[in-house]
Amino acid sequence: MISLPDEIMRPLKRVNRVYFTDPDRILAVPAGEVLVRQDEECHRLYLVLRGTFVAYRRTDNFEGSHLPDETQVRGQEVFRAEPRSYVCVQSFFSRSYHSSYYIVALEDAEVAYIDDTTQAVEPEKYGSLERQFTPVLVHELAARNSRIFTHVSEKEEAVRLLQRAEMASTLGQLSAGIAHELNNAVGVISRRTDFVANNLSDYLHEDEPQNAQLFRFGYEDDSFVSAADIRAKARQFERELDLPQEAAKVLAHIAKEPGDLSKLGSRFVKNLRKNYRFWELGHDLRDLQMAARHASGIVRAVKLLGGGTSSREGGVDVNQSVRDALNLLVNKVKTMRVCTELNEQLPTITADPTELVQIWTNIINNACDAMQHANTPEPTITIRTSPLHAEGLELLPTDYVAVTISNNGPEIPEDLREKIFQPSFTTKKKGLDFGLGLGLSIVRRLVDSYNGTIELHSNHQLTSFTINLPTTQIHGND
Amino acid sequence: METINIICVDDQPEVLDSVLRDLRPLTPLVRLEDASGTADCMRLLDQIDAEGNHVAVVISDQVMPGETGTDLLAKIANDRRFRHTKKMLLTGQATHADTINAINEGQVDNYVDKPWEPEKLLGVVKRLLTLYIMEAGIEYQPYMSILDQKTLLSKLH
Repeated sequence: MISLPDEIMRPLKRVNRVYFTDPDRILAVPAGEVLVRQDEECHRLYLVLRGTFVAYRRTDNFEGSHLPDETQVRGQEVFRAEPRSYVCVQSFFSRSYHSSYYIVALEDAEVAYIDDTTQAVEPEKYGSLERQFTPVLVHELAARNSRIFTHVSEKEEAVRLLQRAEMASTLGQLSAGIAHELNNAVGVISRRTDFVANNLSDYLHEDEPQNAQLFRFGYEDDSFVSAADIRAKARQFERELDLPQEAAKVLAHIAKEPGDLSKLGSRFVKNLRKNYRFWELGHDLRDLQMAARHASGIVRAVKLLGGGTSSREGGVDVNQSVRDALNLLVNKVKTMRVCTELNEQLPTITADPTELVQIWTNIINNACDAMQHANTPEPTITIRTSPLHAEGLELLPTDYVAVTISNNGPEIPEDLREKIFQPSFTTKKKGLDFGLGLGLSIVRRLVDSYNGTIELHSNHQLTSFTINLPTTQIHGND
Repeated sequence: METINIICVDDQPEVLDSVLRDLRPLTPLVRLEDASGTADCMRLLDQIDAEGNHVAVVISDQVMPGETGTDLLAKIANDRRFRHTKKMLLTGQATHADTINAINEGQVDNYVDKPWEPEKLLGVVKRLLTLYIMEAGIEYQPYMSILDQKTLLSKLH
């Protein structure tokens, strides 16, 4: 309700008491009923006693020339009138007696009214009807003013969001284009590396099988031995076998188990002293291959993000979408511990992989920012997927995939938990993250569009988002 | 004979291998060592120092799990044992704030962007190596072939 000074409120209360309490001039308006029609004659001024009314304005370019029937009144909502507000003020006092809106009861409502035959009460004391109704006019002015302010700020907000969305979409398209070009280049690197490695291996084999063996050891090296362990072992070989530092290091990579050295034999070690470079050559090609694979993983994820149009298909692997998201954020999560518990029995779902990747990247990205900002010690992100069966929910799907993304960052304050999903909300100063759009508001919008749910739990130890997505989509949902 | 060591620090083995390869022309006169992170590098530093050997240059990446390159270089800068050790940041990801920190806290002697040019990297390391040898008072004659002549001359005069 509009708040006005006492000088206005007191006479306003009198007007309401004196003019709007006649039982013969009180109407009950059931929900959905039209109180006043746009452009039709109306000689009354209404006061809402109970319930809410919506005022619609039908624009001229409305399809067809016939008036829509009452249940089909559509158009733009202009304002809502709640108890103690007045309706048809302008048409009544301007004596145009034509309403500019359809006024429809949103719920069962009640109004009181006066009309153009109503006479002033106690004019000798309070003046003419117009004079007595001045507070009503002031009230109407104040109400319209506040409506304009709301509209202007809403419009500004909408324009701002639109600009951000446009920026995000431009970035998305741009990155999709780059991703496509890179994909071809990376593909060439990956394939040719394989060709070169195989040819070289054959060639070396004809010349000296032991060098070919060294080369293959290097190319197929998949050990995850720590730098410190390699260093220690290399030092030992350097001393005991009197090998040059580089050769000793190569041997440390090849002879991982205690018995390996005797299995390889002294002839192998003798050859290694001179020809350790063949191992390095193989290892170089292996690194090329690994780098190409890594690059194509990122390209794939960027392509997914820039995908644009939504097309939902069955058989989508949620675990893969989580891996894609992590690939995309590889640099961001580098300084964090990432634990994944991806359930291998997870059912596939009907979805657009692009949208899934967007959901995960936005949540993970936010978690990283929050932890970085708060300087969380030992920042950890855990991602768990699991199937979920919900029995007894009529008309709702029964099978879901649950994805829980948790972090040990700062607690999200109680009063912010709902706000963080709003498009305008941010705790960050400024800047648009690379292609990642509007953060959690996108998450909310996407999850809603799947008829999924978001659960948020947060305390000082753990903050976790659980997204439940139905495995199937009912027609018309998307 | 005591050895002179150059340590490269990076969490990505592929990058580490590339740096080591580009610096190989310095071997076998100096030893090239590698570490996968700050903690690993600190262990290696202790070991080399305990054996009575020199650490001439530490080349570190900036963004690594755990402590950053700047943290590592700052530790070395504040360690009396390594007061002559030259410090170098090799990174493609340092922010403006990182760079300021590296200069003020880490007291870096040089900063090279990723991706680097091998000749340029080798040139910078040779210069830093020459400075170390002169400042630590090591007999420079045996190392002539890998020293930076200009730096050497300016230090001799």
